[in-house]
Amino acid sequence: MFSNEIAALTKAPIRSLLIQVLNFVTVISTALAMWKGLAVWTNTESPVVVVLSGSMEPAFYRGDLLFLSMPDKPLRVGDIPVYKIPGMDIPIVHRVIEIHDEISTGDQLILTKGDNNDSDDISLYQGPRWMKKKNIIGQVKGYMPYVGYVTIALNDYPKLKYALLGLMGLSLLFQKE
Amino acid sequence: MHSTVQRFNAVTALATSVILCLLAMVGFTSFPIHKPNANVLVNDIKVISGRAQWHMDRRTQDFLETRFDVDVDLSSLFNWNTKQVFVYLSAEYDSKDHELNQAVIWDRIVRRKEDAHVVIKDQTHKYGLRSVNKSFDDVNNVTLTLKWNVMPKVGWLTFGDERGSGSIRVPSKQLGSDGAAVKPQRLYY
Repeated sequence: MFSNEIAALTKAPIRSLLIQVLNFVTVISTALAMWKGLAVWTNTESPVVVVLSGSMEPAFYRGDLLFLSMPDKPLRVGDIPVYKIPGMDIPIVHRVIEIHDEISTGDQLILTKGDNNDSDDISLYQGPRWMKKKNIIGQVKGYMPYVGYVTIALNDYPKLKYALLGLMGLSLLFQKE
Repeated sequence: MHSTVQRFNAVTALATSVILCLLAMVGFTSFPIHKPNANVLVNDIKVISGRAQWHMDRRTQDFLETRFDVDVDLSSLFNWNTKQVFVYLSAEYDSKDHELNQAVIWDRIVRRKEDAHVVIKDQTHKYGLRSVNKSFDDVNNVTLTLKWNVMPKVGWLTFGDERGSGSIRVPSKQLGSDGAAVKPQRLYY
């Protein structure tokens, strides 16, 4: 005898739930599409990186945001590439201080140094004397201060991460729409 | 009625887009236009056999050493969006196996307009100038070029250079008075 009301009750939540799920999926996929589109456009796997160390101070501080693109021309001294040492996870952003263009292979021998470091990066390379083209994953083109500090804070203080997640969950629960 | 969360959300969204727009405008309007004049003079050039004392590369090899003067006024590069100017002197040469070699031999970070007139007299190299094959026998000429990188407070990095010294002939390696090879020197790079 309450079939109409029950139907209305069961129907409405499913629809609104589905709409919410759809909204959520749209937001996530838009963000992913923009990130990947930027990666294709700049030809680098990570078009935006956060500075993690003070080795390029006073130009780049911890938490500053760098915009990268893959160098389309050969690197020259003074350029600031981002390179990955084989076997190490974290990419390094340092300035090129030596470059040698090989005639036989067309490759480049690259030596880098952090502006704030006393010595160059040979000791970081873990064996090889030079970095080569294949180690380069991008080149710094633009700069924005402070913005990336959120990610560093979330990494350094895990409690902050859980607090933020909890807050987001609570706000979802209490939201009317 | 709008809830507090909605109001907060709307305000922060608007603030973020306004700030991003302003930053983009600052970034686009503050490219340095004027080019500084630079003078680079090489007083002395020699090739010596040596061994770096502090560098990771501890092989005995040839080093090219110069003494140089630099006079450059970078103040035209400073505007309201300039954080610092990284000025550096690059030695460039071509050798048998490498069509272009570039190495920074001296650099300086200029952070204030008051310090922008850089005058260096009879300076020695800050970083040792080596060659990939440990010898400068196959190098005929070297050019020292003063370059700079303007690093903004926000926005795009810009680069510039001024051809300083012309092409300079690289002398052959220094020998002892009797014509025999001299003992490798200790070099403090």
